[in-house]
Amino acid sequence: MTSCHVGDGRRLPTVKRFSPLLILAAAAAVLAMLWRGEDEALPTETWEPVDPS
Amino acid sequence: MIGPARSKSFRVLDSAKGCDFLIGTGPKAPTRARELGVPLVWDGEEQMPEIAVWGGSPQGLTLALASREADPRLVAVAHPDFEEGSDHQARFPDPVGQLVVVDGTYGGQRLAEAASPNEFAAALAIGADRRVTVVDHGAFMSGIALAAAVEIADDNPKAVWDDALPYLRAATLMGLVMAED
Repeated sequence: MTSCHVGDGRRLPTVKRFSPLLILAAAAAVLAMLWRGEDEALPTETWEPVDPS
Repeated sequence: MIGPARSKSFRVLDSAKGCDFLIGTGPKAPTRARELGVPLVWDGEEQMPEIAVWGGSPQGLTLALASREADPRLVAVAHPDFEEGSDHQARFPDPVGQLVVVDGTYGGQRLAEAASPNEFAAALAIGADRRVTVVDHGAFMSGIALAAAVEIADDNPKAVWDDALPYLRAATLMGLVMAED
C-alpha cells in the first residue's frame, strides 16, 4: 500500500496495490471452495415421519 | 445406579447383584462391567468380551439407519459434542443444515461426522431410494440411542446396527422421530 501527497499538503486517496501472489491465493481459495462443492444438496425440506421398516 | 455415586433421581446400589445388564458410557465402563461381572450395554464402538451391546450412541443409531437402506451413498451424523469436520460438505435437515463433515469409521463402518452448530443432532442416511433421518436435541438423542440398545440385549453380543430394526423401533417408541424424504 502507498500514499502520495501534493505540495499543498492535501492527502490523495490511498492507492492499494495487490501483489500477484495475493491475487493467486484468492483465486486458489475460490477454486478450492468450488471444487469441494456439496455432496448432497436438499433444495427443499420434504421430510415425512415414517416408522422403521 | 451402581455407586460410589449420589443421585436424587435413582437408587444407588453397592453392587450389581441381580442386574441382567449394566448400561454404561465412556471408556471406563467396560472395566467397571468386568469388575462387577455383568454384561454391559455401551455407547462405545468396540467389541469386548464384557460387552452385550455396543454402539448405543448417535453414531450407532446412524449406522442402524443406514443398514436398512439399499446402497447407502452417504451415512453421516452431526452432534453438538462432535469435532468440526474438514473433508467435505453434507446437508443435514434443518435446523442443523449444511456442515463440513470428516470421513471416518465407527465400529468398522464408514461414517462421516460433523459438529452441529446448535443443540440439535441429526442422523442421516442417503440410500438409492430415499433419505432417512432422525433429528432431535443432541443430549436426548444420545440418551435414547443408548437406552434403546437395552431392547436388543440378550446372550448374543452385537452392535446396534446388527439388530437394527428392533433397535430403531425401540428408539422411536422412546421418543425419537424417524423421517424420510
